[in-house]
Amino acid sequence: MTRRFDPLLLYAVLFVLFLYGPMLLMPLFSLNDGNFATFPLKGFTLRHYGEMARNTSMMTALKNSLIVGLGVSVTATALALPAALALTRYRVPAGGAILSFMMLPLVVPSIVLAVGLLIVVLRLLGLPLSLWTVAAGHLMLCIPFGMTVLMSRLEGFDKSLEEASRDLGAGGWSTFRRVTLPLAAPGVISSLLLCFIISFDEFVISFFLTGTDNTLPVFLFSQLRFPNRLPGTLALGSLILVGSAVLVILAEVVRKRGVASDNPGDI
Amino acid sequence: MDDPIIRIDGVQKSFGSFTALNDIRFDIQRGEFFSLLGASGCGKTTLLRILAGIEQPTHGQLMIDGKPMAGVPANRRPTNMVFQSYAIFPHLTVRENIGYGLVYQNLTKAEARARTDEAIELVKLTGLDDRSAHQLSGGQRQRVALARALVCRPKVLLLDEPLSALDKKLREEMQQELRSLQRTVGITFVFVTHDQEEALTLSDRIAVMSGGRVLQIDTPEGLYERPNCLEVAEFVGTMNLFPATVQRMDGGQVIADGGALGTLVGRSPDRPVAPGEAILIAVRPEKIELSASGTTGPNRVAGRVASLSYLGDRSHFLVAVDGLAAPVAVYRSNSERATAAAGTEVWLSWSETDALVLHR
Amino acid sequence: MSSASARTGLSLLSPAFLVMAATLLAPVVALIVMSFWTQSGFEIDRTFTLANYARLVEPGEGTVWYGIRFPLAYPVPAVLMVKSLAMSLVATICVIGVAWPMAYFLAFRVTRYKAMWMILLTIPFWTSYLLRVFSWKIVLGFNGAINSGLQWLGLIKEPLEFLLYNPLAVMITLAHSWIAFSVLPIYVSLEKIDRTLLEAASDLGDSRWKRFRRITLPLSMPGTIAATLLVFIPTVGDYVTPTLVGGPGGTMIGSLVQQLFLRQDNAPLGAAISIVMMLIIAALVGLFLWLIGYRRIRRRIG
Repeated sequence: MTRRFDPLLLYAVLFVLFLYGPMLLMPLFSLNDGNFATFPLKGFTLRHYGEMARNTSMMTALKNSLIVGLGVSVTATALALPAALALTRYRVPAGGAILSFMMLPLVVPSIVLAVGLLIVVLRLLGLPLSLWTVAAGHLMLCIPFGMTVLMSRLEGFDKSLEEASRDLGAGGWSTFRRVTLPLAAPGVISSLLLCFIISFDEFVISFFLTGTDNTLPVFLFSQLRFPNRLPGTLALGSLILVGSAVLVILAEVVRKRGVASDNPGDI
Repeated sequence: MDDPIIRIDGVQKSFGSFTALNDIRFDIQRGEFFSLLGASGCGKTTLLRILAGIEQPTHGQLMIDGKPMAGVPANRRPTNMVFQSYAIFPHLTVRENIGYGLVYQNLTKAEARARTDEAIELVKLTGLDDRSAHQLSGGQRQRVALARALVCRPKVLLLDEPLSALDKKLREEMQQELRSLQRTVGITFVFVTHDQEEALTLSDRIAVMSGGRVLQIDTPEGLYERPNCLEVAEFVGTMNLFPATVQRMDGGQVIADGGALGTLVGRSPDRPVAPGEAILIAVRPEKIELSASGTTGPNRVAGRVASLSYLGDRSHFLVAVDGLAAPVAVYRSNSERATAAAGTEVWLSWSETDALVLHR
Repeated sequence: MSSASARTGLSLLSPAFLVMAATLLAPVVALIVMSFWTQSGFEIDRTFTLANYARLVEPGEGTVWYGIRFPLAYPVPAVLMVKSLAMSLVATICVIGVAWPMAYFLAFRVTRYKAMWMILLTIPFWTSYLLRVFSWKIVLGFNGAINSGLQWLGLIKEPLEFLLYNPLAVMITLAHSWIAFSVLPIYVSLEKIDRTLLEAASDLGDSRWKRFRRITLPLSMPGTIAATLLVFIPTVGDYVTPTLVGGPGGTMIGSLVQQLFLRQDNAPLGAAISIVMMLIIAALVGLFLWLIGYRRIRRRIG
């Protein structure tokens, strides 16, 4: 069979160009030796990246985001794993309703979640805004994502594996450690990565709940108003884009590999 | 000998409003190869899972090796199971799979190693120690599952349709191996299957189950020769059924009126029948003889050969009989195809000792 | 067993549930309570009142927006609500229209490098929303890529001013931000279609187009509906896009909520508007599902 020209392939290529085109302008202009994001390009330079590295408030914001991201991804995954186990392995009364409730952050506009949290923190608890309040908001956003990833992973493997482990003499904890956890590991890793990305990139909730310590997206947002700081902002944005892309690819590869190795006969 | 390895006493199991098992009570003797036979959904797997401790009975008692099993979890029972899907741990090698349960047996490393080696040899997996689950064929996975369970030296080995995933040839090979393995290790096997031929081939005794109840427990021969009800008769092998009405009893025989089929005589069943009762006379296809001409008398029926099929070692005839909805199946040697070609009129006859009386 | 199972299950679930109760349930309840209070100066008046809700529908002189009269004393929320819904709706329709062929391509045409295509579509969704929106500012801005590019090529003399800071820019940006995300649910429902169904349809006499209309399209409905909702619901309340590329003409309801909370310091009114917004979205989603007979579709296709 000869390969005919497929108009859909052309469409798909245009689709991907449209998807990536605007985003790729950012790294393009960040390497451009000019102070504005304009054509024509003037020449290659790395000086914007140097300026960025010297900007201490930017570096502080980066550090804050990393701390919050790491803390949130570990905590959210640690909470989501037992919850996902409960909903896939045990008969929890009203499990469906509880799951629907926990998935709400996926559909409620984040501005509503943000102002609601703001009321609770400021008026109800009377706490000052800080990275802790930002982290609490991120935790709420990340738990449903972590649970989705982990539940699909846990549903993906044969329940009789755990029954076999019990049958061979392992207790509940031993079965978890020797069978469930190793098999869920790809899900755990992709949950960690995805939660980190969500927290690291999240803007609206951080914007409302942040105190004097900015996270990186909040800092970026404040910089967008100043045209003279544009090149440094572009450099930072490019680095974030590349970093996120790497993490997503990593998460996907881990997940795919995990799925593939479960298919018997598929070497 | 009243020291059964398993005593099931009035076990009932419900899932919500659905009753999966209803008042099951029987014993399984030490060293038996015992099968639970039935169509899917009859409750056989549920019963096996209750024996394993994976499911708990809603009501009733269960004793294994003289100890009550109420509240004893799966990991503390002297039973091990071969799962239908085999449940080979995909993240472990063959050796690690087989040694999985030995961790809980208070063995030294050397002892555990020796036990594992022995099990690998027993199921003929030598040399495949380091393979992982997805590098194994169906038959090899089955052997790993067997070795993994046997290595724990259970008092009872539970097998949940372990051969159903294999193709016909391999299945027959494994049947032989399972049987001889059971004789070698001398452990009680409880084997779940929906395949009546498999159950007949392998078992010392079989429990036929349907709708959450046990219909009959007997040896393979007993089940085939003396089914105690219509359902068992039809599930195990093929059975021809002739409707009749009881006229009288004569010694060990029941003399019945088959209407257009004439007088039919059968062996008295365990549960007595009364004159005037509607019954079925049941005859296995290989017990019926074919002849071109015949005299009248009891257990003689005229018919016409509707079709015949050649099966190599024998031939199957389907004979249409007036007054019967289904044609009568007759299994004879190939040489009889000469007397009974399709379309010819034939006489069917059988001995009264081969005719069973079943309640309708 | 089942009660023991329930107990273990609940104890495993409870840590995550408690965190969600504190960070999701409590805020929603607080928002509802707050909406029944009022702001007086710097203080919150904690007497129960429907004043905030009444204010949203209080009749008055009003305003006219795109030929629609809003006879209200305080028409801003109503206008912004309608505007947000309209802009989200347009963006959603565009997203589904553009994403559908891509999903079809992935499900039916891609045989090799499928993982690569999937990853290509996944990356944008997980990269910073803020940066994706910001990149459109670079594209469309007064000194942006399009204007400077066209000037450089000599096609225009003065920068085009109509590109940025208007509803169109907001809709383009919203559509772009959500497009990759909407491909996946459509793709999943197309991928699940048993290929022998298509062969059977052809065998029974359908042409390629008829087969598409009679088999492929109806069977893709669950995924298409899911994608529609997953784009529409969050975009109505979006805050980042209108703020960055909307300008004064492109503001949406989310911007108003933000202003009420952080600038004008009228949290109770902001809370009431948030709640009304969620109720309107929920009602519209319910109406949409009812109109297309979603229950029937679910029952048939699962």
